[in-house]
Amino acid sequence: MKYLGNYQDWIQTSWIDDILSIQGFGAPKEFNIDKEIALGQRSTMHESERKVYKVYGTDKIFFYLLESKCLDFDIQPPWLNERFDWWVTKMYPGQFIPVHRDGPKHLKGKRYWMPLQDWQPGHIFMYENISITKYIAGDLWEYEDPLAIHGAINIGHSPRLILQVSTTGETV
Amino acid sequence: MKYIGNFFNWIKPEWLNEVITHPGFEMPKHSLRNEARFNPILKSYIKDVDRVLSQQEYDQLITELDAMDSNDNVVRHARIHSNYLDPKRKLDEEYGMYHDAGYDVWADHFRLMEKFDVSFDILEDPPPFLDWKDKHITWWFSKMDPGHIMPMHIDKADPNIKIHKYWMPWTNYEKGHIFMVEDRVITDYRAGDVFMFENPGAWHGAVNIGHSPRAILQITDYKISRNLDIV
Repeated sequence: MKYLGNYQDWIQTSWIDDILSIQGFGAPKEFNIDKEIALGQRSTMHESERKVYKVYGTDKIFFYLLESKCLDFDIQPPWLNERFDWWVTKMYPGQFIPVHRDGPKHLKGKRYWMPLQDWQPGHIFMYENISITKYIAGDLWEYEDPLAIHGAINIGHSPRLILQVSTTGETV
Repeated sequence: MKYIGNFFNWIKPEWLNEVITHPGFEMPKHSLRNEARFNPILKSYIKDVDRVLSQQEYDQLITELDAMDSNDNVVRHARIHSNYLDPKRKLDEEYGMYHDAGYDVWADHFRLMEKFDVSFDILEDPPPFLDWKDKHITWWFSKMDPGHIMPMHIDKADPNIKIHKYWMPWTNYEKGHIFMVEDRVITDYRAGDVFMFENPGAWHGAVNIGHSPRAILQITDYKISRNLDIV
């Protein structure tokens, strides 16, 4: 992970309130992945995704995903001048994202990772064998390798909120 | 965590096989059996796995402990852990910190295997890294299947008793096998590596977000100040 700087002043307090007040989609359970694949509404799983769901199943809630469309605010990252997608992952204590490699749709652009709160013990992000700790809200990292194995877990005592931004590879 | 060395050759193949194949016991559901079961004073009160003492038995135990030398390490340790046997004990209260954070304290967070759960005793061939003479030794295995968690916590202990705590994986590191001590995650270890807690009172926790099970031997020792029948 490449550290790019801190953008704490850019984060609005109201965003945090909004994220905490909206539950979001319980992933993967509420995505009905198997049903969507069967109905042809979703592309088949890539290898890493298949491996994760083979071990963990698709019928549990690992974490909450809050996509831009379900939140009352929009963002314009000051470090970007490209088209992008964004979402927030919210993990309550005990929730996690198993280690995995991202799918092909993330290979064209860049991926950014920004915690919306200061680090707390038990808030863990693993990127290959590196753990990102002791960060403060607004710290920004870029994935150096889009195929890196990564995963996250909250074994702390408060929710963990991460903003994720992925560029599409197209300029505005 | 201080790295001590690799002692995989000390692990007997039959021990390893038993640890890997044993399903273990769901924690914290079985926490009643936790350290109290190893304590020479408390163990006589524990007849089976899920036993809860009657109030009379519990009161008698406390009376016996109160009558013993309160400066003795074993007695102090026993007193701290005697609440595991309290028939009035409520898990929500004991695990209040986890409960308040939103954890389901009754969930299957990880698996525990203690001395009484396996057919061998590691002290029959004491670990070469352990200075075990005149020490009270406690050991157990924690096993984590993918998705198992152990929230961040500080182990309960008397700060006046000098305790050594060792952490020894019996499975090789795999990405997603996470052991966090304060702000550090231990990675890239091999089965048989031994680490010692530099601060036994450090915050720590573990999780398996990988794709295969993880098994860890944990050992604590502290000096005993009188001769007891320690089994």
